[in-house]
Amino acid sequence: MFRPEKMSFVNISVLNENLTKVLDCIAKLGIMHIVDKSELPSTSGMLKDVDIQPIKDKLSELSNRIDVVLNAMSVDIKYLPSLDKDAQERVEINPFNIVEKIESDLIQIEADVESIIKRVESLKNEIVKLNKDSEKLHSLEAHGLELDHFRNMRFLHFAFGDIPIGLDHYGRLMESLSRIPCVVMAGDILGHRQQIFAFSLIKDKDILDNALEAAYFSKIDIPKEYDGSVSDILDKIELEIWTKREEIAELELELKGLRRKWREKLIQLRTNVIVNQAVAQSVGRFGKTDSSYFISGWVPSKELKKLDKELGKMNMRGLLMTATDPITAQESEYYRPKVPTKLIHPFFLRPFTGLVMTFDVPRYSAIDPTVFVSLSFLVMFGVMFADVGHGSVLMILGILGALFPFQQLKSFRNMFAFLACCGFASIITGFLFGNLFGKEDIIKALWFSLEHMEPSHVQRMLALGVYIGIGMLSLGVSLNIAQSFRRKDIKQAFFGQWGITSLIAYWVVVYMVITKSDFSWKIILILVVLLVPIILREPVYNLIKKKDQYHGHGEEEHGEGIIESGFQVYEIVLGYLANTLSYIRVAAFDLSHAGLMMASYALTKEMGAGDNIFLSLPSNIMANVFVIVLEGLIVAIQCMRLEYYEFFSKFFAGEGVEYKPLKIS
Amino acid sequence: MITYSAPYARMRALKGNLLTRIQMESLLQASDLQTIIAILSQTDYNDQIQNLTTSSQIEHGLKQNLILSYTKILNFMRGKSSRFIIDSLGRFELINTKSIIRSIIRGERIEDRSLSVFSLGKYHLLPIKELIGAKDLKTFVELMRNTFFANALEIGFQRYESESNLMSLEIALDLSYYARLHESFESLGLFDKSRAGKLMGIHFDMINITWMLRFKENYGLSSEQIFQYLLPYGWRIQPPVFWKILGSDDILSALRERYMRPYDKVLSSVSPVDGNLILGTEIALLRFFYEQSILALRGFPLQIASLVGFFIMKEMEIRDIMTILDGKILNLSQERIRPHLITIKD
Repeated sequence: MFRPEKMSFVNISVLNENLTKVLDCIAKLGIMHIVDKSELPSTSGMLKDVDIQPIKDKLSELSNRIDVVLNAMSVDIKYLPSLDKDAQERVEINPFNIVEKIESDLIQIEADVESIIKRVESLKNEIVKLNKDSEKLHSLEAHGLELDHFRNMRFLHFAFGDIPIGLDHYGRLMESLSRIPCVVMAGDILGHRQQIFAFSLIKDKDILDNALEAAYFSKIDIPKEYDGSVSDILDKIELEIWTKREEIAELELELKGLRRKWREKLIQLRTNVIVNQAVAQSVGRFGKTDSSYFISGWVPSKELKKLDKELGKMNMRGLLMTATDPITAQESEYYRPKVPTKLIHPFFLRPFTGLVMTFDVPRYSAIDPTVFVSLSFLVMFGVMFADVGHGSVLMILGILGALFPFQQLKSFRNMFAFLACCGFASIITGFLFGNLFGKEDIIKALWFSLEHMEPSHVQRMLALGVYIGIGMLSLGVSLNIAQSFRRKDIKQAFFGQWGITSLIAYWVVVYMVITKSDFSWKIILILVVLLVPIILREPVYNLIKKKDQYHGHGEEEHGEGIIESGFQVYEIVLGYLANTLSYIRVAAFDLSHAGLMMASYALTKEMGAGDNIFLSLPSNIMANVFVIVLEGLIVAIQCMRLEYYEFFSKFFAGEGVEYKPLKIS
Repeated sequence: MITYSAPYARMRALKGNLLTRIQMESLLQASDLQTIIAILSQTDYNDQIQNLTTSSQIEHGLKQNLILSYTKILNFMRGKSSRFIIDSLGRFELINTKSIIRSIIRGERIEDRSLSVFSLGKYHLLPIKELIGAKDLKTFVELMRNTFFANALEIGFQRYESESNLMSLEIALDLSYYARLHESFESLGLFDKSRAGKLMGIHFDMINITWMLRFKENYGLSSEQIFQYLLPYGWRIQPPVFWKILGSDDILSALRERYMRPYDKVLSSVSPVDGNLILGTEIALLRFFYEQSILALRGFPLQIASLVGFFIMKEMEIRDIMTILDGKILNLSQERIRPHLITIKD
């Protein structure tokens, strides 16, 4: 739970003729994170590439063709049910030979539906074209311009088209034409372009055209088949569009009938294509000799036996598997290929995994911060949004969303669970501070209440925010120290920016402030003694190690290192101070929550709706909904900010590789 | 102001690595390319030019060193001033974008394409790896959809498709980049703007004067076209003045005759370099720009102008090194190369 799962590096060699069976086994086990052979330092140049691109292209083409047919039959491919275990077993894994089989099935289905799809497509294109013509003509109609008028002009030059919006193209065009008599009218804005009508004397035609060209003018052609008044033409176009829409509706009915016949078959074909695409993608990473394939990748160390057993069952000639011991955190820093990170979480932590992964993937050698993030997020959210009523609303919404059996909500389930947890935290803190729907006088506070905003309670709340800050920063730095020890990086652990010496210095200052003691010379000396090693850590470390790590670089780099460390101390002092104070927002948001609700109830009362339940109830409900939505959102953003910038910046080691095994899904 | 203390200290350290007059002279006196490389390998440029042999490779390496200076300073910067410097560094994204587009049109291999692209490390604002791998211009435009060049590319690509001429597309990219840089500059504090405003204004003026000359002399564009392609953010050369300059037959005379200070003085003694008046004008303007950047560095230290001044000095130095290097490849004498230089005058 506190560190990523241990990984072992596995190499498998298999004879060409047995590859498909081994692939099937690996994909169905779903535990091997395949590594590209180019990442393997020892085999570079010894293994050949597997030419899988033609197969990948063909599978991709088949996938597109299947999606076109499914879309035409109005099957929503975004929400197809996931595969159960039996369905997974039925999937045929054989990227080398499956293409022909799928294509022959697909050709049969396409023959049935293609003519209808093509007709629908062509009708839709015609409608798009008619709509575009209509848009162009609308602009002319709005300016009272008739096509016949400017088609046969003798003394004037006319240009109709559009120019891009942005970078003041219109303003520049107008200014550039200030030296000739001309009329430029701005028409409708369509997308990122503005329509323009421009008239000039025939003799100034070149000037106008040059200026328009520089404004990225694009001429709009009005089809010659249109003549007569603009409004007549628009009516004709409208009628034509409706006729085509009716034809499309009839064809779509026909397609619905075909959907019943082919839906299941198409979904099965699509599954086979997608799974084999993923497998083909992995095969492209394998190495090859004339007779064998070499498969390399990462497997969780505890799953090694399972893989060995399954491969052993096949009893194949020439099949060989080797695996390394579990890679340690220290080894992983230099290990190539990079070790992927698999976070192991019990079910109740899963809603919070996203919080960490959205920021970055932790390195294999790093501490998994999910437990700390989830707890601290809930504490901060709870304090900022302490309200039994509002918390209950969030919790109920979260539970309903997480349990609702709609396919569309499936991908949001973790988010709803997260919402429910936040709601629960709000309920607990709501009881601590005695707050129910913004009312401080209904339930008794278990700790202290902000009723009437008494200064002593407000101060207590602000102090709570600072204490949370001190706790979070100390935790963040402690995690960094633990992580450095894990990587056996003693220099960082003791003298790093967020190491032991800086943490002790921080605690000394915190102790002095809390106990309101004077900063005597002794204390200042202690702080200097703690911080100076950070500036001198590079030379000191080199002395300890008795070697010069800067070999090959000049004296100047020693100097630069010390200057940079000096600025780091400056950043440490500022960082601790600013970050601690930043947590005051935890208290400030709780005060603003209480204040906002007090104001909304007072407003309802002022409006004279205080005693009339029919007037006050809607007003109070609206105020509560407003606070739940708006403040809930702001508080969540603030909590994330505190986690990402103040907390993570102390220890988080990102740039990890996410563990993504080859599997059927 | 206090936020500039760390980047300023870093900049001063990097400024100490600029070539001295003696080093520049020894480059000028070098007999061949190998000697120049040997001299450069004793300097801050060593890491970037190791094992490079051709002029274009060395130029790429030297500019990569400039980018490294940007990133070393940026590591100490925060907030709006950092954004402004990142946007200034973004000029290399503009160069990358143009270079990839040209490479796609020329049908070059993807491996060759990446050689001319500058690496900006974590300061890339574009998905550069994907862009290098784009198989055609349409895919390239698609990949740029969510970037600040999206609009310019959409406009320019449409024109390119109808005319098969890259000029309009590249101008659209330039206009878009400089608009962004100006916007970023405008977001700085008043103190920064007042100090660095002159440098930025001269920069835009120089671009406008050079573009006016080139568009008129080399491309034969009309005044109406040139007007729309100019940058409206200059120091002295602003829209009302454009017409007066563009309207005259000789742009340089117009600048001088209208007493447009300081350019009338800067351009008063311009003479053609290698028979090319536009080149002579460019060199005179760059020398003036270089002098202004030195002045900016002598002013109050804790401000963005000193950082901008340093980057200009470094860029001019690289320009001079390349001029000397190319001159040596062409077997030109010192006397022929010297008039082209910015950081050391005759």
